[in-house]
Amino acid sequence: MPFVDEILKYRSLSIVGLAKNTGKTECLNYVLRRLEGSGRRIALTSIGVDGEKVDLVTGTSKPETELYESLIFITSEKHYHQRRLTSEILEVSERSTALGRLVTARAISRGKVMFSGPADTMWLKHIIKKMGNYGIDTTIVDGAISRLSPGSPAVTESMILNTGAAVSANIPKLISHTKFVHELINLPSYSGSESLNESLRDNLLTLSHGLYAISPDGYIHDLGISSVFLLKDNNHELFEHGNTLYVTGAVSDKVLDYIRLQKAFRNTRLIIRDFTRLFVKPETYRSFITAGHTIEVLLRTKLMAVCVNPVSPVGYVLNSKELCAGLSQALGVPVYDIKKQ
Amino acid sequence: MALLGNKAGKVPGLQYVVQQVDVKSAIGRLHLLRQPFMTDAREISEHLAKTSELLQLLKSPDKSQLLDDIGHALTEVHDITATLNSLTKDFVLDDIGLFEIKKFALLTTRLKELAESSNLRSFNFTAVEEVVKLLDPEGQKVPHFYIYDAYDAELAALRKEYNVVYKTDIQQAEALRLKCVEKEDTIREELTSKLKVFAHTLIANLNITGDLDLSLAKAELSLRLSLCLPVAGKEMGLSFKGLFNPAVADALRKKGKNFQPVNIDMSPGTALITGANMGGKTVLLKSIVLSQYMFQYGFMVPAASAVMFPFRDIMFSFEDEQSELRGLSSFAAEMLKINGIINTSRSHTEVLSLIDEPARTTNPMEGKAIVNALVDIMQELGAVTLITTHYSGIESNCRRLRVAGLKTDIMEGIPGIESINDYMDYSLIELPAGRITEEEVPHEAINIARLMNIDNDLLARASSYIKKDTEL
Repeated sequence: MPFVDEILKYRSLSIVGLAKNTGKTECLNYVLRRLEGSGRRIALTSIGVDGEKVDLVTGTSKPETELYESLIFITSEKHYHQRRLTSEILEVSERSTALGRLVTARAISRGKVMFSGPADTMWLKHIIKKMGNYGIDTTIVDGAISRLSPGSPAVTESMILNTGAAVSANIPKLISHTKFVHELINLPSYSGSESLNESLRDNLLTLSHGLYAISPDGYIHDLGISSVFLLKDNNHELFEHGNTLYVTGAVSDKVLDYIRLQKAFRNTRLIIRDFTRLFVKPETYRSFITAGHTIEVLLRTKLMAVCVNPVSPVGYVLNSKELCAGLSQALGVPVYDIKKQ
Repeated sequence: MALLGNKAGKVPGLQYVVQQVDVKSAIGRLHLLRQPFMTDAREISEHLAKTSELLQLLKSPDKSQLLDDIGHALTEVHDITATLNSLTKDFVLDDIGLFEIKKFALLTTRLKELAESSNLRSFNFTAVEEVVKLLDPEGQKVPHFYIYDAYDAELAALRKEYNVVYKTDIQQAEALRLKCVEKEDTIREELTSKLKVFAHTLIANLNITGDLDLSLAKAELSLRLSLCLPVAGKEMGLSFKGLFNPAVADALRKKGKNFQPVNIDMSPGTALITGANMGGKTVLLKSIVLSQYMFQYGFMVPAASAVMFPFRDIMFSFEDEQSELRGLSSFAAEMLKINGIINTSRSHTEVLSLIDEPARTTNPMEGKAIVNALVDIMQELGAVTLITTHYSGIESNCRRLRVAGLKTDIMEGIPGIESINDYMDYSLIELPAGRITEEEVPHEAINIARLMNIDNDLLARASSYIKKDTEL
């Protein structure tokens, strides 16, 4: 897989799956095997809770992550105790996750570890930054795309997306779905007339609830609407501070349709945390954009490659060659079958 | 005894002070919030001495590097109380616990050096080289930890073998790993039992760390808010020169205005303060309450200089916005507070009581009678009491003070209520003891209301009623 050299150009990489059983952990293990000889210093963590030995949803087996010597990893206390390798503790966090504090350690021997990581985006961002103190070149994040997750994999500079038969057993459907996600990953990052600096972005990222307007002078105004789902009942002062809105939570079809249908709302600039916050049908999204509105993200990541797992959890196997070729043509990024590599 | 963390929200202005205390570690924060209310003068002096020591250091420019280093070390300290407690019992520590102890031992070694080179006498860390030696068999002096190969030659050999076998025979590797774990567990057990004898030393060092962090934060606060070191007086009473209220002063400063500090002395018995509306009586009482609590929680106090006495009880009664929520009228809530003050003052005399405009919410006839009775009782009980009132005709023979009030005749034109602060003299004037006469209670309510642009008709009619009354 040639993209491994590409990874080393970035300070951070997330590996995410479009659904369970799309081969994310295998992809991660593959990338690590390839990086081992590179001489570069790598750190590894994940977002929130993951890494159960057996996939809790489908009951299929899920490989642990295999580490090599000198790799730095961050996992929760609980999973640190369950590690199957020798490792040296470098740091223990004061903050705690649901599975205990986060332990930063260096692998002394080879072996396997289960991962759980910081629960929110800002914490993850902080950890990635801190890895510089240990001379780390690239931090890899075992990511998850989840509507409910307060942590976002898009905080990393680059991303590998895993897709496959678990998403759809129909190749054209699988391709069109993956293509749409790719389109969302490429949403433009929020910038423009306002002098958007890092602190405004960070301030927006720390907001966890509600709907906000950003006035042209860069001020954040709380619109007092707790959820975007309550938009209809609270629209009277929606555009008092300009047409730039920041939605902290998930954005659904309903929201896009509502904004599009109101003639009063023109050229709305909808800001979201990152592409994982959008839960919309491709048709709704396209109508919204065609109507002259835009969607921008606070966190934008570069999609480096797509990996496919042609085997579905129920045993259905797709034609790997056909799938890879189709996806590669549709997306314009390299596509690999992780099991063949 | 009431801890600062529980009391802060209940004393006006105390929360503001607590929020300004910039501790660097979780253990420092714990010391702050768990600071008990002190009534022993010697104990308070010891606390203040620590803060003074650090304040001296903060004021010497050549020591700024040392202070930076101390501050940096403090931010690295985690609260490892739970680990140290399990060390005192018979729990075997895991790698995380051993890591915490090693890191802490290295940090206290550093803090000990820094405290010694700064000549800090109040913070005597115990040396823990033995602890460091146990957890750093390879002598790396870095705060990292695992069960090092140096602990056991056999473990080292097993690990080597594991690494060789891992790539070829995963099953054998797993068997070797389990053997390693067994060896490691034995070492963890041995280390824990060797460390156990140091548990109390480590706990003491952790307490000194919390103490140092808190004292440094208090010293920084003293510098920032211009607090002074109070002198502990032997006589029951208080004496402030240039007393101020940090939160109010801060709010005024933001508006480009200055807080006018006030001088006041208090001794056993009751003092009654009268003065115009907006004359700062309530702020004065709140400043006294705040300073007294700060003193007894081991802080320096907001004044230019102060002589203070540790009271067993500090009691106060201010207008309470919470009373309605509890289903009490403001009068009822106030009476309950006053009842508490009287009961406490009956049980012992070491009580400082500050009562703001008692019985103001009831009819003036009964209100005046209640204030008269209260002044009499408090005077007899011999505690230190300060009462403000707007009522004239208070008969008691207690000490009396008046806020100087407006510097100019208000009718000469003050630009507006916002600037009243510039024309008000908040200092206190001592009046001869005896009955408060009509003339001594300032009649400036209507003038002040006029400055606030209150409805003209209302004020005109009020004035004519006054005229009618005086003509009668």
